[in-house]
Amino acid sequence: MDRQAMPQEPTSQLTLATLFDCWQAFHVHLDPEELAHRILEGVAQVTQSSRASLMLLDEDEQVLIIKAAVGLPPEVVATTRVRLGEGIAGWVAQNRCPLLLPDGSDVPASVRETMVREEITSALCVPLEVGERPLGVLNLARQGDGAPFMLQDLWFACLAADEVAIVRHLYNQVESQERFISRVVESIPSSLVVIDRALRIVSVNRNFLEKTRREAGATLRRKIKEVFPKVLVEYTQLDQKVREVFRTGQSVEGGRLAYRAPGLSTRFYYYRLIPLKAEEAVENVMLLMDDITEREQLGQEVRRAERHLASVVDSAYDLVVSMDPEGRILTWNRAAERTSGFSLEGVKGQYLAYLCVKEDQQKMGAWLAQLAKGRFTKKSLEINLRIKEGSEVPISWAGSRMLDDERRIVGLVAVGRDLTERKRFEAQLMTSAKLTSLGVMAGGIAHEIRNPLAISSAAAQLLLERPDDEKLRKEAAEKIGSGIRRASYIIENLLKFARPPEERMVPTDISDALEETISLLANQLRVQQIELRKDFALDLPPVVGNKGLLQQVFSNMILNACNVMPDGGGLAITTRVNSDNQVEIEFSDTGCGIVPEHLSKIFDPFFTTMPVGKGIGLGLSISYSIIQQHQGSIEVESQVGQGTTFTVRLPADSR
Amino acid sequence: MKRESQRILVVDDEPDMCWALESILRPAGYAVTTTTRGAEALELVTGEPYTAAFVDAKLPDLDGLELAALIRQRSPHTAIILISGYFYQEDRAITEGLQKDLFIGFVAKPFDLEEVRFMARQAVERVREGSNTDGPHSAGG
Repeated sequence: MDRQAMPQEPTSQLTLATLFDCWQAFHVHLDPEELAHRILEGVAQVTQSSRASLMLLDEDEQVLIIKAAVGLPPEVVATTRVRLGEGIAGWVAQNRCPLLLPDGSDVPASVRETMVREEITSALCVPLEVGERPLGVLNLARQGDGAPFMLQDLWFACLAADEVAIVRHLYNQVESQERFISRVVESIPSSLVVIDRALRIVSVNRNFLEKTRREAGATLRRKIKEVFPKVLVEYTQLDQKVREVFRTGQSVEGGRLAYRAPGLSTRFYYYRLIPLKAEEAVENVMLLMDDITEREQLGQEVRRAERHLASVVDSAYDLVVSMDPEGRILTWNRAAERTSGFSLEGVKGQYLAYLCVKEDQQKMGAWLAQLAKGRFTKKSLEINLRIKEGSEVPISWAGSRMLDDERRIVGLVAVGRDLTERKRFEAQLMTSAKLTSLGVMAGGIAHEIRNPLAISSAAAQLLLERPDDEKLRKEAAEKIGSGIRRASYIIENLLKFARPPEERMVPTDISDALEETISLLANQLRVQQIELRKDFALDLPPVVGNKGLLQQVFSNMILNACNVMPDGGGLAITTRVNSDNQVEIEFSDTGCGIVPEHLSKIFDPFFTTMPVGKGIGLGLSISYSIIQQHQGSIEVESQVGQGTTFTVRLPADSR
Repeated sequence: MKRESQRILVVDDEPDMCWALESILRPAGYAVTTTTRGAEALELVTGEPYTAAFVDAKLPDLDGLELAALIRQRSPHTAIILISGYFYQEDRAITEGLQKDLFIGFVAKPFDLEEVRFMARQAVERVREGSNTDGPHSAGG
């Protein structure tokens, strides 16, 4: 621009046009610095100033700094700091009054000195202010022989200054708003990436840069696929999704993605794409990523804990069944599948009670119902489970209910133990105990059988010697017959005793069972000189049970009596019905009695006071177990030195 | 030679056993008395002299071996033969008893009639010889 060629007198049109251009420029560039430059140039041009400068007040330090300048060396522009009140500019800024020099006598001396020093012939200084606040000054100076500034110049400068002030002010407002927004955006724990239509990154927040360990310079204006790992962009189809948002103007809920910044461990994010609209058009798309790593880890831990717990239940040796409060099966662990042969699919939703054997279904149902109500009637329940092949398995059930935080019932848990092994063991124990007692009885029985054999043998021999003796023939034949019958009877009872017991329980005549046992052991009693007294009630009701097993108990009672009376004594066996409709069988001996310390232990397996070789102490514990199976009880009373009474009680058959 | 009626006592808790022994011994010429109780047996031997006594090893009121000892005490000249459905020849109680001269013989049930007769003859022999200190005899198997 050749200033010399410019007209000397500015016209209003020119000045307004200049201002208008500046405004346009501002709108295009939105840059107040640019605006300041342009206005300054325009003003300098119009006013034909050899020097022009725009100074802004630094609020903190209260000094004026040159923001834009024309005709000033760069080092001056950079270093000039004018304090409020100093020099022309400082004075103007402080007093907020324009100064046109040389004019007026109220110009301070220092100012005049400055002018002389700087060879300024004319100076114009106009304050920039908004409201009451000083923002800065606009300086114009003419040097050399030019005419001094005139009022028109002052007027134009003021206009320009006002414009700059307003813009500055607005810009400051906007800037502080922007800073505020920026602070808000930077504080968000989410990562923000703003993307334009060309899929380039327009803006990122600090969080993003930190999480990805990137520099702003290496991220802004790059394409998405240059910044994010290729695999991630492909997996999430980020490009397509962003385009979709631009197209539809709708948010897209993305989903989970995992991102591993170099040098850091993998972090998990939940991402969303949000359109940034101006009116209806989508200007940009914002990618919002929430770091859910901790939540994911927690979730993973929870899942791991759940899997572990599930595994614990599934690996348990016992059956674990969970049900709703009504008793319908919800879960069925592996042990339950293995034992029953039914899978979860096969039993889910069914009542556990229906899986039990028919005669116990009601019992199971009632027990579960009681559990649900919170009443514990029985600690455990022995009920057989029906299994796939159609047979059954004995299970001992223990149950409890599941409550929520408000102590409301949400379900029932039943844990079952397969008793097959135990029952097998018990059966073996009983067999070996039986063998033991068989051994003990062998002596007595041998004697029992040998007598009738001897009689028959002698009778037969006599017959051979004296075939013509009529009387002898009759007598001998009878003796042979009865002898054999007696031997058979003894053997029959012995076999019945030795045979494994039948499985089912049937109504049993107690007197009958007792009599058979007594006859088997009669000789044992005789040789030990034990006097037997029988006092059997005549109308004893039957007992539902297993005859063989009950006879084992009776023989055990009698043999125990024999053991405690090695030198003889008395054994009284009494039967009666008591007031609870139970059949009572009392075995009373006159032996040495049991000391009080032993009384509680006598039913324990392997407890014995017998010397080595004379019994291993299983009899009473097995008897106890058998009577329990029969829903009965055994009680013992004893007086040391006087004797012991065992009372067996069994429920009478109520049918 | 006419044999005097030697007295033989039979002690067994089984009545038919008594019948059998009596049916064997009476036709052989012996005067047989039977009892099923040890106490009665003791009374009898105290009252009358018996050549022999067939004693069952297991009696209701008294152990057979004990009874044998008691009979020896009361009637030292009565030869005792133990008869048993409980013991066998090789049982220690028997071998010891024979050695100690508690009884002169043992018969296991069931038996051959001849065993019983043999034992009875043995008893008579010993009485005739008037000695009980000869070595024990036992019936063959």
